[in-house]
Amino acid sequence: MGKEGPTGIFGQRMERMGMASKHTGFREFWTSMRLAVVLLGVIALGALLGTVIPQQAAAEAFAARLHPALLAVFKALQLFDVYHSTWFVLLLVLLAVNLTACSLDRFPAAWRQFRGGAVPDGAVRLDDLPAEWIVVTDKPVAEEASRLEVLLRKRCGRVQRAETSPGFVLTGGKGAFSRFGVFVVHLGILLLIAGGLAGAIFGVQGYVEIAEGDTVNTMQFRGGKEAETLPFAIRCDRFTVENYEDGAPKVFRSDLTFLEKGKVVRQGALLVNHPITFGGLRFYQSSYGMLPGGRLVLSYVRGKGNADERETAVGDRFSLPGGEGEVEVIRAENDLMRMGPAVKLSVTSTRGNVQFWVFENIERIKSANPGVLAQVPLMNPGLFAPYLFSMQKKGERFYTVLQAARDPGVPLVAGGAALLVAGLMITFFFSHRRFRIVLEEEKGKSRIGLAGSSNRDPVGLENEMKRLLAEIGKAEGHS
Amino acid sequence: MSDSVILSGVTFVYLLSFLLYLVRMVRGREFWGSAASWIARIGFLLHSAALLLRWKSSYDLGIGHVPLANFYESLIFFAWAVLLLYLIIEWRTRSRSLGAFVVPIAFFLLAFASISPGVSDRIQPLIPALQSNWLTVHVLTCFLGYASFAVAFAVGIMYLLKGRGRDGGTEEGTFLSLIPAFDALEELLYQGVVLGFVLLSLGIMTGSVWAHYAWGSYWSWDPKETWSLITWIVYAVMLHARSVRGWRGRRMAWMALLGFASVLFTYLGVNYLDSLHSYF
Repeated sequence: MGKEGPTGIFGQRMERMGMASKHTGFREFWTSMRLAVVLLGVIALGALLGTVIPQQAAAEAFAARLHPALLAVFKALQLFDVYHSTWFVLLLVLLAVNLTACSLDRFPAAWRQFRGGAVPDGAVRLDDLPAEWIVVTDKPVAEEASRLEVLLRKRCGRVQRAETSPGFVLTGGKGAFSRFGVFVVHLGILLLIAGGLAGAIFGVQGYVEIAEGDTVNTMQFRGGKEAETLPFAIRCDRFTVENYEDGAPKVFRSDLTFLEKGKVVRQGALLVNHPITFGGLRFYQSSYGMLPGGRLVLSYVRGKGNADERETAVGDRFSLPGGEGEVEVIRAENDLMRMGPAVKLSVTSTRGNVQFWVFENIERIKSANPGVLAQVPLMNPGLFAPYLFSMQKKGERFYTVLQAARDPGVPLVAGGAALLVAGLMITFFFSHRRFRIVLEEEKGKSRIGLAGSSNRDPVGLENEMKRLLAEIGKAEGHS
Repeated sequence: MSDSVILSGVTFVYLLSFLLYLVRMVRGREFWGSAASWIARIGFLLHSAALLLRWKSSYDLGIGHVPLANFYESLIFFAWAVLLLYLIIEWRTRSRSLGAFVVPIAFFLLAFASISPGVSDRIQPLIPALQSNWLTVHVLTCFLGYASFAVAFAVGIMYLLKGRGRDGGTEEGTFLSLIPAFDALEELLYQGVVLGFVLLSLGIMTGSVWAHYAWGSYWSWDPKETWSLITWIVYAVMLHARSVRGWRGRRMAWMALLGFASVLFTYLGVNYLDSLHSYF
């Protein structure tokens, strides 16, 4: 379909909405697309800065390396917390104002298009149409006009019929609602911004740390804000970690009990991806750890003899039976290289000094990495032959960290997102197509022409027009 | 035979298809194009079979999940989606000229997945954060969107090449004359961007819902989130420039290039920043 296509009858094929750029008045400024583009550009740029400059807690180490003058600039511009900075929030608010102004400014035009008022009613003649969009049938014009009115009504619902001197003109449109898609999108974005701001102002993000067996009724905050006492208490009955065979974590699970005035109100398992809502707060499994404390038990066996066992700690020294060597515990780790608890021993004997790590999970490490003990003698608990050492942690407790959130903006954001997506679908997958069928009498026959226009998707319009033209030509006695 | 072996084979099938599309563009004989098409279709079937096999293998290992759960799997799905879109376009438009520009994208993605030492092709179990039904729909929408932007990018390149040839004043050689007319490219580029934009919006939305359940916040300005927003803004500006300011042709082609650069940074570049999205 060329530039002078059959759609030319409605004027411009792709209608454009008005652009206010020649004037610089107050109204024009706020309703201009240029402002929207500039705001979006600056927001994108600011967002980009926040991904390059370390933010919030991560910023400290970076800030320490900056020149003091530069540091002052960064601090003044709030570059260490871009997304919560005054200027970033202000940009979002400006965008919201601009979006509202733009939409209000353009809505009346869209409404007129929706009502069909913009369809020109001037004389339409077949001679204005290219030949490929004209068919000739043997039936009289009046009969064809009635047939085609029914045909067009099936497609468009309401059809306008006008009588002209050589015949009739039928006009119909469909998908007019797609004119409003863009406003639905904009409303969605406004709700998203409103919800985001509501969350930032009225929302709460804290955390609760509970050791197994303990009950806690306070919520902590990062950044030194004072802890908040909750109207209920949470007990962690148990924390469980399960691993896959390759050592990757499979399950983090806190078994929690919620208590009000000492009475159990609710019990439940909290897992990643399965938050629990209680008392207006939503709790998430955030992280966990091992409490210091617990006892280290070191056991050692000489050849095939009986095992000896002793409770130990860093700095502990003892002699091996028979005085074959002096053992000293020089380090103890809760989780060494992600392979679990381990202690480092230093054994001094007449043969010299050897040092090696003793892992609690040595069997699992060996089966996951065959041959590791030969390759890394430092990990061999039998390095001081013929003694074999092993260790165990006893009586230790996990603690679980729950993230707690209250965000009154969530319903707004959810509604905004739904509107946004619905609006995009309406805007892009539907179009407002209008058809005009022009009938003219010629020696007892009917010459019928088809014209169409659409606010988008010219290819889809042309395809539909081809189908429509085929139906128009289907009259009996078509020549 | 394991799925990754098949996929390395598919890499070469796509390379062959790409070269044949190229021969067609240079020699101008449809025979080469037809051969390229058939090879691309065979490659796509093998590719699909490999994805299904990988899915099944994960169940055999007892850690069953959709093969959309790590960087390798995202690369091979990305390549699959690019080819899917391409074959649909070839079928709908009955034009093979796009092949020489889109099939190499799928080839590079697969080659990167197979060759890059940093990309493990092992089937890994799902860590707790990934154990969610939102995983599938989030990754699906995002990567179908990326694939759509990739097609728009390829069309943008074609547009600029053809435009440069025209400005050179010389008569169009076989290669440039086989690139579809500007109008058709224009329309295809726009369709690609629109589809990508809707899918990216859905991708960001599903990701937000998932984050709401997994991380305790629907939006936490994680670099990947932030960059997906930046990409979204780039395409939003592009679409507005078209509908409101009437941008067409070369400007839109450049915007498609800029947008795809942003997509690539969202996908790959973010790995160099500290991100919660470390699985992809």
